[in-house]
Amino acid sequence: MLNKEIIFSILIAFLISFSILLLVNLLYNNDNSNNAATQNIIPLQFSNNTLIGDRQMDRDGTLELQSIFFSKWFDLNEKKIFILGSSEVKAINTTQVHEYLLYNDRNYTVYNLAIPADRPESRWNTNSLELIIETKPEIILYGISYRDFMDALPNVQSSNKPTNSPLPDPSRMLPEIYFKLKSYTNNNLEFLDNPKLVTLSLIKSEGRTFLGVKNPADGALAEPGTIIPYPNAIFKVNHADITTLSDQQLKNHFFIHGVEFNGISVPWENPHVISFEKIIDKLGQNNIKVIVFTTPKSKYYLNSMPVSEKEHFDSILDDISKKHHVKIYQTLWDKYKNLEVWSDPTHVSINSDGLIYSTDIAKIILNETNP
Amino acid sequence: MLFNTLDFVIFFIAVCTTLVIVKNRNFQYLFLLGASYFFFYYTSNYLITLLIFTTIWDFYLGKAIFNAQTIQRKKIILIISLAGNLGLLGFFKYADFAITQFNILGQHFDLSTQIPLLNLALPIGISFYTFHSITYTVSIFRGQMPPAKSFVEYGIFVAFFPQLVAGPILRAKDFLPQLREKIENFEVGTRLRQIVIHNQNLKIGVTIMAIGFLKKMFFADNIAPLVNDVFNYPIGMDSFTIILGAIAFGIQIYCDFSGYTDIAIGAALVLGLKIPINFNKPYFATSPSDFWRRWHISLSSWLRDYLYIPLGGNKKSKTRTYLNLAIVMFLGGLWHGASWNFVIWGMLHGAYLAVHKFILDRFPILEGHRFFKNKIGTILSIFVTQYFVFLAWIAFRVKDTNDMLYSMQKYILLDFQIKDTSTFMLTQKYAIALMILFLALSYITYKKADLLEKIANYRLRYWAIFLLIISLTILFFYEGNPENFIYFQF
Repeated sequence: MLNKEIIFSILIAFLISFSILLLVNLLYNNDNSNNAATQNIIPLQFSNNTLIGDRQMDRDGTLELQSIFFSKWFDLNEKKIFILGSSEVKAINTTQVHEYLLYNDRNYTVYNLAIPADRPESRWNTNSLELIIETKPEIILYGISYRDFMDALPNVQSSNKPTNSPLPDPSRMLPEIYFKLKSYTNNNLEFLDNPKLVTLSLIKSEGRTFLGVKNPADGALAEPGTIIPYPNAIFKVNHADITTLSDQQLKNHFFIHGVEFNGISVPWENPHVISFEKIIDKLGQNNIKVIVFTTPKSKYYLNSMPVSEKEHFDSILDDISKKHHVKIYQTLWDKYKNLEVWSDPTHVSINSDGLIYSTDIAKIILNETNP
Repeated sequence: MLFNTLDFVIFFIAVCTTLVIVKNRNFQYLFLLGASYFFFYYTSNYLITLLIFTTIWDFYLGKAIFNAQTIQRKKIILIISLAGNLGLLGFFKYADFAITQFNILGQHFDLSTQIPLLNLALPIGISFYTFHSITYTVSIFRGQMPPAKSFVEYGIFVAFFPQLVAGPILRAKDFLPQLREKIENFEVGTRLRQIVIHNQNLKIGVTIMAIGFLKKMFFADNIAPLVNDVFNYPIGMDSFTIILGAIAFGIQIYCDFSGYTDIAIGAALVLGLKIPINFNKPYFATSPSDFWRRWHISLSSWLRDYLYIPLGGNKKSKTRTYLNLAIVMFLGGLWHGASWNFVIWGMLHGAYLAVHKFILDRFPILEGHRFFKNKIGTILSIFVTQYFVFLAWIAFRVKDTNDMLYSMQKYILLDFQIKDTSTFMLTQKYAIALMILFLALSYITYKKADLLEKIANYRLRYWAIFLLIISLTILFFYEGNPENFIYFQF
């Protein structure tokens, strides 16, 4: 006969531990909201959660950081510039841009809000745009590239899970229930998305600095494996991002990993182009100046890009520029193609080698602003 | 379905509850088979058809082998069975790999045609369930067991959910008799054994599962960021960073895989079924052969019984023995995945085993020498063995040949640069703290081998406190996104 006491012990152990987690989270959240007379952390909601592995982890981590960032108090009188885009704009050093502008009599605080693997459609589907508008930046600098409009990103499907099956997928059931439960409880169960984040923050706030974690209230939460490259960089960087490859290494990287040109469907059917236009419109309606620039690429990328794809991409940008009266800078696209500034064929390295990128961005801003 | 998700917890509780409530033996087994298929379908959808195909294929061919009158006929049927299993495995797992190699070769010979890749979804656990099936037909062929008495029993053997996707690799002759009531002199009784959850099995099973969850969700998943940071792009890193990464990966893969195995063993034990252990403190191995007696034991013993011995084992010439070791480990590496890094990992271990055997053959005095029996000798043996084991882990983890060569070179030829390593360590304090904690706990369990049993025999209130501590640790350090088990890809 099964001993009910054993079952009871298991249940009690789990219930107590879950209650403690709940309690700690409640106390910690209260403590935080009292201390930082500010706001609740507004989680960035996002869709298209189909990335895998490190890319998904980078993206999730960045969204967490940016949720914390937007929960800070902002001086609405401060003149702010936000840099948006995918990981291809991560190398824009906000300090460098700020100092260059300051030297030329423009006093702006610059924030880099790159999100790894981001594309206009996913940006549009988050609530980040509302949060950006609320903080009232003066200028948005949006880095765009071919991949942002491309029809399908490489490696977005798990190789183990068959897709397009006509059979029902029971594995979706529980997440759906969980999401409903979360919205029913006004996102009070949000901490269950990542209890470790709360734990590490708590440990830090209790002075356990040896675990190397900063307080989220500081606005820059450094999780293990994270390097914050410069102030106001609201994303995660790993070792590969800050390493400049030699030309041979870059060539090897290109031949091993390759790049994909999957085509861009016509603008009126392309959700990314449509979303990008909506973003420009919405920012414009809120009196935020939008400057678009194409992100730089290495020679290996550029040499492998079919001419027709480049022409198609350019024509889409031309149309957007004319339709929405937005200036699109294409000067950086191939400017550094022969320089040794790359961490891979599409990313400028986030170190002193890549500072030229930041200087050029500062020049673009300078061109668009008055002292 | 991942073990480290709420989905599995709910599923497992539902299965146990149903089996406790419904006592009818036929229903219990039918339900267990249905639950196992649901478990597989949950993550693999229509790929379940391959599992069912394998099961039907070998169930009937097993009977045919048993009923065949001549050895010649038995052999032919066995070959058909093997062809079906290995054909399926080869097609789904290795077809694209083979096509890629063929295309690369074609480029060398200036062939303008390229064979397009098939881009097939890799069915989870296919390497495991095909090996299960092979043990069944081979055991019948060898006269070690009669065929399963019913399709349901055989279906459970192949698809039993705790071990379905990542082992341990079961032997039919060990597992199937457990489903029957009496086992006397290898003869099983005629009635199906009723599935009853016994108190002691429940306590030990849950204890083992808790340890498994801790290994996977606390250690493996939290050490993974360090490993990713080192090996996602290792070029440019210092020797000590690479070494740190290799050690971290060794710990991560051990906690990941042995964590999975613990959950599997524990879950099976709750249901009253025993599946063999797969790990026995591998990082305390004192030689390469000792390592393979401790690491992924079900695979190494499978390779020994179904490959090494049929190849001649050590019964032929010495050179042939070394060659057999190399062949077996080459195929063992390939079994892990259709990629050169797994092949290189296997070949490295093959080389370790062959060289170790060669040294012992050449200097027989070393074997059993009293130096290697004392403390210093044992510690030295452990360090030397693990140095090579962790070197091979680099090949396993790094996907790119240049990254692999660079990392291995840095691992072997130390550059004694510590500046970047110390900066790197500062960003990874949390993972490093976990690594140290893991090593300390490993040492304790090495010294106290029966610790798990002792915990399971604690008085109920202390046992509950143990569970509380484990669940608190897991809950508080859970990242939210359940990480896949590394061995799911095989």
